[in-house]
Amino acid sequence: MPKILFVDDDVNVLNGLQRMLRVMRNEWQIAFADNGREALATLGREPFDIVVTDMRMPSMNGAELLAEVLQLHPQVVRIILSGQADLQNALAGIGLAHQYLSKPTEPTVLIGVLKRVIGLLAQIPNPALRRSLNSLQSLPSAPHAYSQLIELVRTPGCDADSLAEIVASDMGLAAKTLQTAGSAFANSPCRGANVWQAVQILGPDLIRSLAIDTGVFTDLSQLDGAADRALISELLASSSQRARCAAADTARSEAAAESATFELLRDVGQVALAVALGAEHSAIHSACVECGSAQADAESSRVGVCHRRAGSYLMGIWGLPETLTEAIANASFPISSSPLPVFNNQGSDARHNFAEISR
Amino acid sequence: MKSYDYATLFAACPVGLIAWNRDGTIEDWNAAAERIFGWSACEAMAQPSAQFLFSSSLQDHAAHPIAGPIRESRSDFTPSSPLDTLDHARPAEPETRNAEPTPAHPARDTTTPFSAEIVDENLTKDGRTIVCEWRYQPVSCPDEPLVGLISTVQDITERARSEQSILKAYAEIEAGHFEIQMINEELQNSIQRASELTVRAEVSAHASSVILSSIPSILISLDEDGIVTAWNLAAERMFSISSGDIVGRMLSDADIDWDWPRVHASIEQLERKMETIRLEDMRFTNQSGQEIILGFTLNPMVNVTNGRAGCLLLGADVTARKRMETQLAHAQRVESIGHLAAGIAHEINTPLQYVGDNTRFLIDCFEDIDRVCRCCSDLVTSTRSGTALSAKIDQAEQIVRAADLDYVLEEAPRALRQSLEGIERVSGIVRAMKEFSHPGTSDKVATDINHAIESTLTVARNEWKYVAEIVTEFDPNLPLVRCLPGDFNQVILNMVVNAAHAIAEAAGSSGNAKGTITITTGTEGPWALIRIRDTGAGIHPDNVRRLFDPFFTTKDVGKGTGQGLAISHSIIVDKHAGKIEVESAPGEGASFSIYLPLFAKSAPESLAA
Repeated sequence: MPKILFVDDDVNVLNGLQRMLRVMRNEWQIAFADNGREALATLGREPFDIVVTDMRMPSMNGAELLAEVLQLHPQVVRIILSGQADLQNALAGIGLAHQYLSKPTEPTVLIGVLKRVIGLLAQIPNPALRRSLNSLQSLPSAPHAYSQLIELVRTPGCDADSLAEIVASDMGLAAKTLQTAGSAFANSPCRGANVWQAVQILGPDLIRSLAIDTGVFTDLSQLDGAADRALISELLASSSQRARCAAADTARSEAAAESATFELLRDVGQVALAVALGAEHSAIHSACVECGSAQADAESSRVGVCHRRAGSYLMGIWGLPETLTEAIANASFPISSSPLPVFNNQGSDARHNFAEISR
Repeated sequence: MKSYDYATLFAACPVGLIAWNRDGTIEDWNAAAERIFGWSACEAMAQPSAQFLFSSSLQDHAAHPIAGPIRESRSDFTPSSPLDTLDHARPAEPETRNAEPTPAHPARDTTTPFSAEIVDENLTKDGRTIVCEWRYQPVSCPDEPLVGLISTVQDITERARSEQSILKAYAEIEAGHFEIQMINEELQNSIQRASELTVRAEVSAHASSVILSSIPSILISLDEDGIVTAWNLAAERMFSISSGDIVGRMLSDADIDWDWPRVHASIEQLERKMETIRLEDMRFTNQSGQEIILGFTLNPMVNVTNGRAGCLLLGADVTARKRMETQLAHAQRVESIGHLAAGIAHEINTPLQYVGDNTRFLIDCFEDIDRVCRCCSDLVTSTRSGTALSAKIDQAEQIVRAADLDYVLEEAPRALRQSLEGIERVSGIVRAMKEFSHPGTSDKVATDINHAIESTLTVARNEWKYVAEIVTEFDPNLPLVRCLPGDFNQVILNMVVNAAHAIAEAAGSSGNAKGTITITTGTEGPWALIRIRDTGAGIHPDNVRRLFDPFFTTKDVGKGTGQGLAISHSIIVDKHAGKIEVESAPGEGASFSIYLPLFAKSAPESLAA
């Protein structure tokens, strides 16, 4: 049974959550802690799947707690449920949490978010892989895109349109921007799978804070460990290329923007696995290239999940829209309204039936 | 003017006065100039040229009036140089009209007496660089068109800095960080010192009128009978009365639309006390109907022959400053309310979360109870009719078990109680917000100080609850105090937020233990006393003095504007005729005592000596 730990210094909030979640009593096991230390003690005693914490608490705040959780229990999915209206304080948490909800969150929404995360967790049965993926705080960006962004946000009066062009050219920047824009952290959370819109919603000031003060974006060249940087660099370049084609293909329509956003993130699982698994992933990759076998099958047999599922999982726990995570799992973007060409990844992967993967 | 008038004026003049020879050396140097530059009159007059006052070469300041004499004393001086501004200044020579104008120079028109205004960087004796505002006037004699220059000089370093801060502050208004207060008391302070100084120079009556007209402040002198003996250019401009029309007549003959009783009362007070008196906030309507706020200093001028005192009035237009101060006070309030809003949102969002959760729970409970009730009534019906009983009982048992009625019956009343608690908390905050901001009260009203403090604490709860416990020791018999409730609340807010910051600072980042903020109310003689004590980091003795200065802050950037205590001070002292006292030592917390008069007059005090 999935286990969720709720942390809040206001006991009334914990009581309310307990009562509200009573409907799930036969499906989930829930526990409560009214401060950070107690939460860490509880996590130390037994494994949990999800932690949902308040932000402002005396002695140890939500961000400090999640930093500890990331260190000590990286397999746990980290969610903030905060009443904070002060962005500066909220910023401290955004880099550490997979999702950021704000109080008051409607019971159905909170249950929906938890259900989705629990469903996704079931897709990654391998505990080591879950640990690696859940401890990814960001995905690497191509160094030139990263430095362009940093340079631009440092320019006084930089506008959202130029920022969007940079963010929309890089997988790492786009993924983190969509995550942040979709969270309650943004003033009017972005529900669409459109990276241009996500940048507009956050605005230059917030992106500047995220890039400089919080440092949520990372540069591939700063990546340590055994990750195959050449491969990642190649993946980033090709996703950028495909996104540019998709965006240019039609005149800036909503559909074109969504399609380009999908193209940017299509290979997000490959990058995630390359970072999370390091040398193991390069071995799988080169073996596939040599003998020509399907990479997805090799990944599934070695780590229990293929890169498309891994990508869809990671973007899912980051709270990205389901249309987008489904498309990543299917390696194809379902566009019914517009006759846009679908950019298949070298046409190598057969189309998966989404239902088959996610259920 | 009588000669003692000039002597007093020269010494008492708060503005530096320097008389220059045509060769650029200094002939006279008053006490204010000494204060500005640090050089005594003897030292200054011994200097071979004016260069010692200027941070860069005077040659670089070609348009500077002093540059002319300097050039003349040098070999490369060319009298035809268009930059030789003293030549331009000669009204008698018509060919200067054809001289090529220097755009940077303010004085072009040779038909009016030459004068120049220059802001410059200057050096003091101890090597500091200061910013000064200079005004130059030529001195001429009937037989020689130009004998020298009289210059006034003011140290505007502070003002220049303030102006920069203001510009910066305006830029920050939109970001919510509006911070500024103008400080300009140089005039009044220097007057007091000046009156103690002796006069050492004798200058012609002509030169003294030049000085009078070049002083940027309004300068009016009255003899002991109240007859106007001097009325400078600034006074002429301000009141639209020429000196010819008023000098030799009573001041009260002047057609000035202002509070005459206050002016007379101040002059009487001056004669009685023989000391400098400040006359603030003199509202005056000028000829074009604009309201202008003037600030005056009245200095006694003793006539040595009869021991009676005449009066020297020095005044300045402080309208812009006053307007700025009002805006600042307002902006600080808006800023702190804006900051509070984020905290209030947090305070409201939390109860809303559990009210929502509890309500959802109750809906779920009622669905279960509904099922139980239906099966019970079903059971009753089938028992009466005696059909299929055992199956019905099994089914009912199952439904009752699934409904978990024990839990529901125990939790539902608690959920209701806690929801009500949450709703009360939200309404309490909303009520307190209304009381805190006190919209629409611009007059002093009888206020329940204890209740006002309670409201402010509620509104600011998010600011202190993570770092401190608040202990209130209120005197239940405290009478109502006449005050401006919005302003008073602002002061309490500033104090409580400061106390919370001091406690957080003392606790450091790791701090587990909460501090305590103790708020006591009571009466002490004619005062209502509000004391706010904290167990925070305390205030260093060096900082206690500067605590109420505008812009003074020891907090990190972004944590405070340095305006809170300055504005609190102004609210309590200026608006309420109260006082604020501070006791503190580093590491031992701080205690702020606010005294408000219990029996405040309804009219604001009219005279402040």
